[in-house]
Amino acid sequence: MDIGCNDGSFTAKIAEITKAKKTYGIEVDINQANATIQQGVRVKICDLNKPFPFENNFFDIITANQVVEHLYDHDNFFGEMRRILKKGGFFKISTLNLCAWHNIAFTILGMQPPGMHLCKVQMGNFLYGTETHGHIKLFSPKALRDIAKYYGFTIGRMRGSGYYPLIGPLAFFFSKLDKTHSVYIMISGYK
Amino acid sequence: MKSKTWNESKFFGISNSGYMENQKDFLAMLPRVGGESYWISDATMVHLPLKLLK
Repeated sequence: MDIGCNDGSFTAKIAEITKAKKTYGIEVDINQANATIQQGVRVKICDLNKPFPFENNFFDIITANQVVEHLYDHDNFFGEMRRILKKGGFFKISTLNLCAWHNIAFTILGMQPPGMHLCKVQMGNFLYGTETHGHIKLFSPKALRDIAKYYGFTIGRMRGSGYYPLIGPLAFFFSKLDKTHSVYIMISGYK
Repeated sequence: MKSKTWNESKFFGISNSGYMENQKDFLAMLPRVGGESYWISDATMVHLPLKLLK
């Protein structure tokens, strides 16, 4: 199950790697859902802030890549993820990091962190007027781990990627060394 | 009003924000059907078996 499967292309890669016999997705956008069907994914259209349209203990693996930052009801998200995941099932979530150095730098300078969007364009910083992607909430690494634990998941690995303002191998090295301040964070674990 | 899209992955004109690396890591760390995956507890740094998809 790929939650927030978009056009299904990344979902298809996940299915290929995990050799999943059946692949499902949830997507709120009907056009993206139609594209997902073309990838051979069973998709249901659903607002991820509402109950997921699947029965209890249904999935072996649940993934959500760059999704949680677009939601406002994380009690629903993590509760529903736990409900539809089998006992012993695996989950993986990736999102932007509130504690990334660029978000910290903007805050110190008295500006809106650019990853935390207030409306359809950037506000409160020097990126004013450029379009945004609808990020409603950002997580710190500890908060992401805590909320998953709170909803009954056992947390396994946490990784970081990207590390402003460094680039290339330096960014790679420091994102692994100091994932607390990397641009992206991901956690995995099981129910 | 500016119409260009600001992209987290090209912040400050730096394209290597880790987005592609994040996508690769995401795929690389997925479990395989029929196999036994392992995870490392951040607290203990001990390898523990994680039995999946029997």
